[in-house]
Amino acid sequence: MNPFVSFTRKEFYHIFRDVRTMAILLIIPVILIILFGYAISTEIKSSPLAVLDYSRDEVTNRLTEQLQAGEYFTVYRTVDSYEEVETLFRQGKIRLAVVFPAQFSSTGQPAVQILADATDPNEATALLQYATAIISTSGVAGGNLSAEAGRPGVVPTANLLYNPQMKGAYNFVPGVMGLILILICSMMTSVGIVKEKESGTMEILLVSPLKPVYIILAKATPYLLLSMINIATILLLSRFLLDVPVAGSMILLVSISILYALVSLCLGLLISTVADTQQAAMLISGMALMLPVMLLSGMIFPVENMPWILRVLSAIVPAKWYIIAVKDVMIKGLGIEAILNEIGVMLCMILFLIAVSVKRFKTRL
Amino acid sequence: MHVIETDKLTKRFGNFTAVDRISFRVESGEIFGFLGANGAGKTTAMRMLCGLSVPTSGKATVAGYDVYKKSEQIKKHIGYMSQKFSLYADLKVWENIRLFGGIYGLSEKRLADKTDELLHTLNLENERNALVGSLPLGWKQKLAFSVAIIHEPAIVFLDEPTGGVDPVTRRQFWELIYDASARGITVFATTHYMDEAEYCNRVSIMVDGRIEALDKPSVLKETYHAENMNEVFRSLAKKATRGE
Repeated sequence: MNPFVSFTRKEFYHIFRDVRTMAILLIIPVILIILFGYAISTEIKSSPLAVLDYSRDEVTNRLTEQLQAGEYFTVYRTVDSYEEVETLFRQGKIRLAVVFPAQFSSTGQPAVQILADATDPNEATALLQYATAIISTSGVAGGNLSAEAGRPGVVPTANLLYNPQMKGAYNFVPGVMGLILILICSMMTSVGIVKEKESGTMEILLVSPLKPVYIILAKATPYLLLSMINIATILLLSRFLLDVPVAGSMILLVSISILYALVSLCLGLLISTVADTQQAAMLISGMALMLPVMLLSGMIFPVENMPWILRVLSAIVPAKWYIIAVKDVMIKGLGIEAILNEIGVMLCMILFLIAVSVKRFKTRL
Repeated sequence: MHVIETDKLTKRFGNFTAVDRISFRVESGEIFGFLGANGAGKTTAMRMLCGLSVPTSGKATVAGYDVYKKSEQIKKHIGYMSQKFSLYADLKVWENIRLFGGIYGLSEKRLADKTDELLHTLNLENERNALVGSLPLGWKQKLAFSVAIIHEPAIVFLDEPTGGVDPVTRRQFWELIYDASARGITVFATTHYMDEAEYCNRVSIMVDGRIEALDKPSVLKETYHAENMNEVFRSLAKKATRGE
């Protein structure tokens, strides 16, 4: 019987026998997608708003209606004083308040005051933008305000090309893919290899005629398969639950996913040469891989706004390159020529990691 | 023919000489006891012979193959069982047997025969589908030994194979060793138990990386005017300057 086949079969037994771990691995992508899609949403929907209208004329009424009409805001209450606005903010009933001064439409320079509960700065920025946009583009104010203010000048028309509805899903679906692949391929592979070291079976394998490279390949195969199942789950969920279709080539998307999975496997291999216990392997992959993926890959926080040192650091996070490539293919529908750069970076990472791991693996013997 | 032959085999880690110019020969089919206190260099010597560790200097052949150049060939002709239990607990008994048979390249037919034979010898026929983790330690050790020689190697290395096992099971374990030896498999075993040393055809005792004594247990007892191997071992181990 082929030694490699025997050994790979054993790896599948390990995974299938450990029902709990396997269930967790299969369910994690579903949970992440639901969490990011519904709970940790950065999208603004029906934010409660108070209107303090000192003018109470036709124009301000129409503006209030405009604010209410869109899906971003619901007018929680129309109030009569600043004190009331403050109370509502304190009670957490509203996220934003719009104040129209007296004689709003008849003054030469009509002004609107917008107050935001900016405890969450990102949300406040988004809310302010939406409110400003609604007020300034509404026909009422547009004609009235800018014309009478005497500066008709330039009116920029923003056009959101690839994500017209500003859906967070367009950002986090690639992010979740990057996270899951690292989790399964790096963490599980390193834990799997270290487990053999801990239990003493690694010694038996090393004195057997089985070549170390086969041991590693056999360890990686089931996890590669499992991670591809997860990618399929994520893509199906994002297509049917979140309405984020794959715009570009499916084959290209799967290919870069496999490429990134290989980078993750090599990382896992490197960790397994460093760690001596399963806990250590877990901790290293958790701290050194998961956190950077969450924080430095651009999945949650935009890399462009970070201090230069973090931007440099983010360049060595494989997930960053993968997420860029996935966005290009999945969201923008671009072809391979657009992501050659990212593919190149990931290939270099694989070569580098294999070289280092093999060197470390050898010296350990 | 000598199954193991070493000549001034040495392993140094930096300034520390773990194994210091050991020279010995092991005959084919012999049960060779490799004794020494913790830290005397037994495990390092054994690792060199198994092809796990490259010697610093000296010569050695195992099953006729040079440890420097032919470690891949050596691996095909040896079996190995370590002090840590070394089968997969979450695999069934027959799956473990098939895995190691597969790793050593046994044919499907031979493997099936071997599995039946082995389960019969060990009286484990009813446990065929049991997970190895659920077996008592003594059974596991016996199974691990049988799996270690499933490919009929020229020599089997046992690194403290009976650690933590009760005396009755240890006795049964040694019967398996005698069987293997009778079939022509050379047994090279380290042990902590001095009563086990008496079961060996010849024993060597390592102190501070060197082999201080090597002979039949009866001859050693005579030379050191000792009642049993324990006394022989103690009188030699006293000379040790190395700590644990």
